[in-house]
Amino acid sequence: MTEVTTPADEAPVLEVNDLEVRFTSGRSTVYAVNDVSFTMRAGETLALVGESGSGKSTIAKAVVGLVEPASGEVLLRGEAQAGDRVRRDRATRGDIQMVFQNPVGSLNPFMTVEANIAEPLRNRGVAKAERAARVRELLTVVGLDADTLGPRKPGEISGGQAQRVSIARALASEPAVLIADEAVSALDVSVQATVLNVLRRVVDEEQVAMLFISHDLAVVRNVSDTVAVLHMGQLCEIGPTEDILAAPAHHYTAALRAAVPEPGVPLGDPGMTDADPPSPRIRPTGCSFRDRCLAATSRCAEVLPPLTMVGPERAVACHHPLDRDAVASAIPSVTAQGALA
Amino acid sequence: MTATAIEAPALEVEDLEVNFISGDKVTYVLEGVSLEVRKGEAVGIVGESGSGKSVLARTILGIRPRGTVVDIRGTVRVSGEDQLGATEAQIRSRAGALASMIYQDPMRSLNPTVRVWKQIVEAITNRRRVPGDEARSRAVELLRSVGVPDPEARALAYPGEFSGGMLQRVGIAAAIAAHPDLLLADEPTTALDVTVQRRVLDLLEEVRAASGMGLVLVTHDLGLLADRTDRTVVMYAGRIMESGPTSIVASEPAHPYTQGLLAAIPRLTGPIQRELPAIGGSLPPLSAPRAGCPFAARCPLAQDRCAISRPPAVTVAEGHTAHCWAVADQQDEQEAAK
Amino acid sequence: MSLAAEAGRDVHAAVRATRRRRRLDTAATTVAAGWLIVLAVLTLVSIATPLLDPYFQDFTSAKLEPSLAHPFGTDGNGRDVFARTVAGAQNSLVVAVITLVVGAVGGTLIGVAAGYFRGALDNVIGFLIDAVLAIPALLLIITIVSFRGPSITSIGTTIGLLMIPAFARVTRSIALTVRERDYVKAAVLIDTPTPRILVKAVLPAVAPALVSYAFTAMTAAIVAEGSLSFLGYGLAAPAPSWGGIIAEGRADLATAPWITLAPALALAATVMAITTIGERAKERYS
Repeated sequence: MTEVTTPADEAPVLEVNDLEVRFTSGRSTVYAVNDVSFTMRAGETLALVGESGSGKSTIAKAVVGLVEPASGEVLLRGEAQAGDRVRRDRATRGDIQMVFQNPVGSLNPFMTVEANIAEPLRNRGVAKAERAARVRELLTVVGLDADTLGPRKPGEISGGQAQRVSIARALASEPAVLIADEAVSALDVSVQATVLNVLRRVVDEEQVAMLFISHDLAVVRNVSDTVAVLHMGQLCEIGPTEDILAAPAHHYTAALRAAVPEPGVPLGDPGMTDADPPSPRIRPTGCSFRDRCLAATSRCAEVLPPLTMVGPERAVACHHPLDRDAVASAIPSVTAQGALA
Repeated sequence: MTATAIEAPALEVEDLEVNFISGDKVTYVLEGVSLEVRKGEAVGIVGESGSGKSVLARTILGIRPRGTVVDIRGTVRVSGEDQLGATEAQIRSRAGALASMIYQDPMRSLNPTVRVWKQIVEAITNRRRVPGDEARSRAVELLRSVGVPDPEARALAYPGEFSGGMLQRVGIAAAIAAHPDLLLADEPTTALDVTVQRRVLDLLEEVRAASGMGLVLVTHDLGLLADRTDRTVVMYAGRIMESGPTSIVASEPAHPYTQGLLAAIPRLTGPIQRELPAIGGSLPPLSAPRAGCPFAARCPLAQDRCAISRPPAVTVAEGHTAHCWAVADQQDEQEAAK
Repeated sequence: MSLAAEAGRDVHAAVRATRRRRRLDTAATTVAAGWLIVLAVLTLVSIATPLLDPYFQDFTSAKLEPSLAHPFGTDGNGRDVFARTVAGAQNSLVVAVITLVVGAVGGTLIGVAAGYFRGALDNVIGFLIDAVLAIPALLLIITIVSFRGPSITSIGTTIGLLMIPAFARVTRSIALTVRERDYVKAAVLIDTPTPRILVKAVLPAVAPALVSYAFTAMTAAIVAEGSLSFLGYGLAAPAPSWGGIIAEGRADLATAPWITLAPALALAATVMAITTIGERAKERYS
């Protein structure tokens, strides 16, 4: 398996190697994540992109240890982590934190905002006075006023505020890795921008590595350094975000990109068939995108395309990758508007 | 005068006001909303949560929330027929014939225990007796027209046997079964993946073009409306902020709210924005009547009078209106310069 | 401007209409609460003073019709029915409270544990609950009370034990949904100890349903105690309880209906009062 290399001087904070996750209920098995690998560095954001059923949220759960992988490993600062969170080292358990999709629903509704943020501190035995000071500090980091919002209950604040409180709570554990699982999907556009800005700032200033999970390519483009595109639990393509969005090598990335609506920009060619993807209940053979792919051949159904390097930091899993130079010129808006700005 | 000019518009809403009353709490949902949709025209209604866009769609169809007193004033006419004075039973007998709705989550709007063909033709069979064979072949025909493969077999399936995108097609088939004059789609693709979303929207457009009905597309996503609706109406906190041709509203909006909204949308093209321009502040509480402009507290161009006095409707260009004092001032200056 | 004023009037009319409905509810609740307070005061009087002696017999004045001296008349043994009804209230309500405490505490512990931890524990608890529910309740109570003797605590705890399954089911279903909530997952990720998660996140979510079900359970307990005493498995005579007094008066129903009617009405009024207040509590929580 080819892997995107990291510069030797910067050891990765998180490494995920050959991750496989299956869900079994009764006699049926869902192959949710199939042989996915990636690495993350401090102060950088890796986005996992894909549609429903792509396995992106399952990967997040496996990384924090809420879901036990069938095989593969999760390494935190080079140390292998147990599949189940409970068996992980208590001292480093808080190092991977998560922000969920539902802003208000991920805060304890029976506690005040302050108490919610203080929980992780309390659990680590931080003294009461110190907790209060730290909570104020954290609220300031996420741009909220401690005096007005601190004493409120989650039901009394807006979605955007609640999501920032969630970020503050995650930061209270001083994590090395922050997972944002569709963290802005439920928010209104005008509020989404605020939360994205807070997340970016946290990555820069606290030097955390962020795993940003989203279905929205436009959001991903503005927030992540690296992007990994997933389809039915398979990693299609991984590499620098701007590079991949400007010139996708995988047909799925291209199709996904073409489907994103943007004000004032007409949609491009769909670039895919109308077919449904294969059932996740059958052990995958070949490329999962083949039925929807316009370039698929018989080989795509038989042989799983290996992840192959197509540039210094780019890899694609496709038997017939798109000609990157040709694609770049076929998406004129990128270069044209980029130049305009 | 041609025949089409005399024909009543698919939808006329005039000065609509809606308040929900529950106990002693009043929620001021809509105020002074006016809009018109001609037959064959597609209009987009864009708004964030709390804008009242979904309540507007439901009020047009006569759907009232349960357990809440709804205080409605103004006029709503579908194909010239009054919707507000009518009783719920009257509206129900009319709904489907005059107007119908496509919902956000088709799984919830369809009955999971009834075969889809029966649900597709319900709008017809509720109104008159139709022989079973005829109804079923009509359902198959509708399924074929919305692009469901193998419609004869799929007509007999239950909703649970469809994927999300296919199920939304079934929802569309059911909505157009009785040839309504007006089709309302409330966030029809929000629950769908983007690759499926575009197909469903393409289908809606096809269906509208083929039938000549009026289409109202309610969404939170300004990007969806490009190329798909003739006009766009932007709502905020229960009021219309701006309305005009979609291409103009989505590229050169006049209202500061629309401008802020447009700027805050992350782009797939153009320069990468490390710091997205957010609109600070939050929606005013809907529990109090809103004097002046509801956007005043968040508006970069706000003046003192914005908080007190309701902004006038300013005609920016032919068919393009913005409700804003700042825009009114700009217009005045331009007039003076001339 | 006048349009706005008119609009304001319409809104106010609707507000007034809902206020009127609410006043009606408030009146019903006030009557219900008033009844329970009167009952409590009379109970205190009967405990603290010799004014209402449920055991005082005067065979010369048996089966007297209600009068000023005996507001509810007298029974076959010449005892004052009013005094006996008040004393019965005390016993009946104490049994109901014991029942409630045993049922609610036991049921919540079991239900929350089953719902939150799932797995084998849930299966075992589920099986036990089904097993208890499969046995005819009355038979079980009569058997246990016969063994342990008919005291207030034995009757209360026995009926309470039988209410555990119902409370467990109510709380389990809520715990099941709460454990899937993001705020519980978040609590796990920040290493909140499980007991704290149960107390701070699960219990408060269970509480509203628990409270509204408790009112229903309380009425069921009063009725159950009444039925048990009526069948002769309640408190031993001459100790008064509503069911017992009703049973005693049964033989004289044709000649002295007040002996049965007074405690029966008191029982019905109490059940209705608790239900009314319970409905209000449910409204407030939902």
